[in-house]
Amino acid sequence: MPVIAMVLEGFYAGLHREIFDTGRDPLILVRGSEIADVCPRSYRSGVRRRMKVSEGRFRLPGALVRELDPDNYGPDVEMLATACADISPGVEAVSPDCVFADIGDEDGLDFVRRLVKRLPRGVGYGVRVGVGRGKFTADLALNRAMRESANPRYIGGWMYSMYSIATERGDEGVAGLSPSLSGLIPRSILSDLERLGLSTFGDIADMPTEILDDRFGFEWARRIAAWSRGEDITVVSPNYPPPRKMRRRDVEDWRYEAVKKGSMGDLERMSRELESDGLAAGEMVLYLLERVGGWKRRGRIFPGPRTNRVFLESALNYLWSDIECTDPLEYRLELRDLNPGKLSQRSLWDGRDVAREDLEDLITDLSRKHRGRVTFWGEEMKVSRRERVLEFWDPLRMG
Amino acid sequence: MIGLGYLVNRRLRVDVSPGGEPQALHLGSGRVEVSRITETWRDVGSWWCGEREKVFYRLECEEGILVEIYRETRIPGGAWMLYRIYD
Repeated sequence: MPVIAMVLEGFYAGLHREIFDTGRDPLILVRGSEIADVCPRSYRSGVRRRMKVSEGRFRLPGALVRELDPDNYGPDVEMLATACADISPGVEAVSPDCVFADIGDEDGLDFVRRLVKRLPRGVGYGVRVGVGRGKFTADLALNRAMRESANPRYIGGWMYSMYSIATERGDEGVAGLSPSLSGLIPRSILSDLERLGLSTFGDIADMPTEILDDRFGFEWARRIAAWSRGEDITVVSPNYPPPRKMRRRDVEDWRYEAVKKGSMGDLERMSRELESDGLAAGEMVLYLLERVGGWKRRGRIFPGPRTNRVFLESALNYLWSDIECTDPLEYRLELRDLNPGKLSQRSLWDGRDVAREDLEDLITDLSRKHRGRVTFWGEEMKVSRRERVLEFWDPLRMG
Repeated sequence: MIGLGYLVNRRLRVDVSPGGEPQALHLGSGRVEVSRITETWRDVGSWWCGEREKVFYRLECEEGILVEIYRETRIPGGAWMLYRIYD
């Protein structure tokens, strides 16, 4: 199935400008000593991603230079993946500004046209697109498209460059490309290929397999030879949207206790939903959007999947005690990393006066309530003495 | 011989006999049966601070787990509290 790989340019810069209201000054976002993203004005001045920060400053001395921290952009950072997931059933988010997606029979350009319509203006100015028969060729095509800088083309008001290796005969697409475009081939093999004078996949395809075997070993030789013929069996591993429970509220009246109390009510409802779905959460994230200063984020990864309401409440209390915010506009609470919860045996009667003959009805009701996922015949659970004693200390231990 | 105990002080669900004595303690993983009540006493605590009398039980539970619990009379309904664990 054809796969599209995309990178949005100016995405982080657009979010930064919107959230931190940096005005019209040219903006450069950096990660370490490398430029991670730029605004359209900086781009027009010749400043590019992956350039050294010193070179960017040299080309555009008046630019605002800020450190890129995706946490600052709160849930908006998922805008690209969300838009993609609206139009494709299989989305693999690599980073907030880079995704793979299954596009089925659709033309790559039509897909991009539909996608950019779903993104707000100002969040990004360019989209680099690679289309392949699988993830490997899509990635290769994307890296090829990333190198195109002359003659920009436009789609839906966005600048784009696209390269496609989705032809029926794959070799037509990869033959002219350099193996160095693939992130999957180790650097040592790339330099060996260069030493042999094999600068394109077409050159490799012409080589006798014995020579490749001798040089790179059977496994890598077969792999490189298959890639050079344009064979691609890699597929998208959908990871977006991740399963999660989320609640958001606008904060009209900022009183810490009132908002915190509201969040506890939200958590109680989410915890009930988890229980009825037979799920447990592995992570909790609390966001607050400040009127000035953007999103504040505090998260906690649990030691294991948790569904117990008391445990979740104490985790949320911890997040509230750790987050500082003076004037929020919006709050958002998320339970992430949802997986089937730990199955435990529950008392059928649980202190209620239920006649034994009602057993069948009771199990039917439980199956209905828990959608048939958490009720099944089991064996008596044996809890060790050590666990019993530890449970006196920590009531959340077995919960 | 009884080892050093550790104070816990948290609420606990307890099944009681018709005479009001603890029969089983409830934990998340299930019931822990009380094998024997080894001692019972009353404690008035800091009466000058308004603390009321509490009834303490030292219990030997299944598998030899030793705990002390008391009934808190200040809380309506007389909530049971886990006071100390010997282990």
